[in-house]
Amino acid sequence: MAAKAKIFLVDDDPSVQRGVSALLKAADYDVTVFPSGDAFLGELSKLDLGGAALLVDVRMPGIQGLELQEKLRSDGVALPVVVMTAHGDIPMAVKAMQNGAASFLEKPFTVEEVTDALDRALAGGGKAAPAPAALTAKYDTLTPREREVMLEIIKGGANKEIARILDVSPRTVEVHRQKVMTKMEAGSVAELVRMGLSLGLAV
Amino acid sequence: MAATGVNNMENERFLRSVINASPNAVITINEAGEILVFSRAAQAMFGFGEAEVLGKNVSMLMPEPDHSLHDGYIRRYIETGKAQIIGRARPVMARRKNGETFPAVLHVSEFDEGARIFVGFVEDITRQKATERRLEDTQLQLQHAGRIGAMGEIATSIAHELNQPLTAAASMAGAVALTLKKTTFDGKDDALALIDDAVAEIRRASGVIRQMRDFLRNRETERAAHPINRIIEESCLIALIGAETEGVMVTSALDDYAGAVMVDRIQMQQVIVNLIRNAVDAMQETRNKHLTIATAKKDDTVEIRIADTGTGITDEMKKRLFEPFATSKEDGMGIGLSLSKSIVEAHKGEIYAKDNHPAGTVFLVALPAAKDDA
Repeated sequence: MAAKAKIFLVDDDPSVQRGVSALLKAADYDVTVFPSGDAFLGELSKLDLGGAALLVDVRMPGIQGLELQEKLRSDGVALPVVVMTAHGDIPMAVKAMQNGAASFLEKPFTVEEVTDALDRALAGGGKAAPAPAALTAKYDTLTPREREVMLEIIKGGANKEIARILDVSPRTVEVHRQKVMTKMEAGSVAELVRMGLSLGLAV
Repeated sequence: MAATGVNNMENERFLRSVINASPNAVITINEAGEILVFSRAAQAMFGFGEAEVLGKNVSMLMPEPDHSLHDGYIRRYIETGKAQIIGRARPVMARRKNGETFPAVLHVSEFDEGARIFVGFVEDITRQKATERRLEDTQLQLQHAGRIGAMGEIATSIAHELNQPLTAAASMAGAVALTLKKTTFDGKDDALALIDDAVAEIRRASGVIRQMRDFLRNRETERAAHPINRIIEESCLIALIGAETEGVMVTSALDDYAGAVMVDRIQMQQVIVNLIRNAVDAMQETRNKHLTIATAKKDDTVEIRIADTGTGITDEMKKRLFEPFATSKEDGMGIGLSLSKSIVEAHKGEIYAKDNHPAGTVFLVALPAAKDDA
C-alpha cells in the first residue's frame, strides 16, 4: 500500500481541528494539526513536505491564511495549498487562487468536497491543470454576453456594478447571472470562481 | 420754508435709498393692508414691479390660508392690541407673482405717523431650507445605511462564529460515516443515510446564514465621482450636529486639488462621520481638544486624515481595532470601525490608525483617485 498522503491542517478552532482531522484520518490521510500559521511556520523546517498538502483557514489570529500562503510562495516552499473560509468571501477566494492556491473550500464542506480538493492539490492539479473537457464543454454553451457577466462575477462585482460596466440594466445582469450559474452547474459563486480560474479566465 | 422743503426731499431720497439698499424685502402697509412701499429687493423677490402692487392689498403676496385671513389679522390687532407677529421673526410662506410659494422669515414692526403703518422685512430662505433638507436627507440615509451596514457586519461575524462549529460537526459526522462504511452491521445503510441527512441539515443552516449575509452585504451601491472635499464638509456638518463638541477646536485643511473619488457617497460619509465622532468622543476627557480634518492628493491616491488629541489607543486595542465587537466605549457595540474598514476596502482603499504626537490618534483613509473626467 502506498504511503498515506500528508495533510497539514492549520485552523485556530479546536473543534474544527478535531472534526476535520478525524474526517481526514477516516479518509486515510496522515494529518498533522497546527493551531496557527505561526505554529506551522515554526515547525516548517522539520517537516517532510514530500507528498503533502496544506489545508489552511483564511482567518486566524496571528498570520492569516493568505499571508501564510504568500510567504510560502515567496520563500519558494513547494507545497500545494487548499484554503478554507467560513466567510464565503469571493474576493478572498479570487486572491487565494491567484496566489496559486490549488483550491478553495467554503466551510462547512462535505467529505467529497474536501477529499476532491486535497486529492487534486496533491496530484498537482489546480490552477495549472488544463480545464477538464466537461467544464470547457459547459463554458462553450455560454453566449458571449454570459461570458462577460461570468468574468465580472468572478471579479467579485455586484449586479449593479456589472450593469454599469457592461452598460445594461441590473435586471438584465441578474437574468444572465442565473443563466451562467445554471449552465455552468455552479452551486455557489465560490464554485464559479474555481471554474473560472481552472478555465484560465483572466481575473 | 423752501429750505425745509429741500431737506424733506433729501430726507425722502435718503430714506428710499436705505430701503432699496436692504437685502431683505421691505414692504410697508397701512391699516387697510394696502401696500405703500415695495423695495427693490421686494420687487426682485416677488417678481412684481412697484406699479403692480402699490395701493393693492398685501395679501396678494401670501398663499392660502394667510391670503384670506390677513385682513382679519390686522383688524384683530387693531381691536385687541394683541400682537401675534409684530416684534418677532416668524417663518411664513410667501407667494411670488408666478404663483410659486417659498419659505420666508417675516419680521414686522409698527410705527404711528398719525395713522398706523406696518413695516415688514421679508427674507427668502429657500436656499437655507434646501440645504437643511439635503442635510436631513443625508442624515436619514446615513442612519439607514448605518443600520444595514451594522447588520451586515454582525451577520458576517455570526457567519464565521457559526460556520466554525458547523464545520466541526459536519466533519465529525463525515468521519463517522467513513468509519462505518468500513464495517458491517445491521442497519448500516439507515445509519449512513441519517448521517448524510445530518450533514445536509448542517449545510442548510449554513446556507441560511449565507443568505442573510449576502442579503445585507450585497445591497446595491451607487458609485459616482464625488469631490472628496464636499463629502468631507457635509460629513463634518452631520458629525458635529448633536456631538458634544464643547471646547473642541476644529481645523480643516482641505487640499483644493484633492479632486474626486469614485465612491458611494452615503457609504463614504458613514466612514467619515464615524471617524469624526470617534475623534470627538476620544477627547471628552482630555483638556486639549483639537480635531484636524485634512485631505491631500498623493499620486493616484486621495488621503483623508482625521487627527484628534484624545486619549489615544492602547497597544492591546490596536490589535483588534478593526475587528467587530471590539470596543473601548461603554455604550459602543464595536461595529463602527469594522464597518468602516469593510466599506473602505470595498472601495479598494485602505484605512489605518497611528499615534498622534504628543497625544491622540490619527486615522488615515486612502482612496484611489477618480480618473480624470474626460
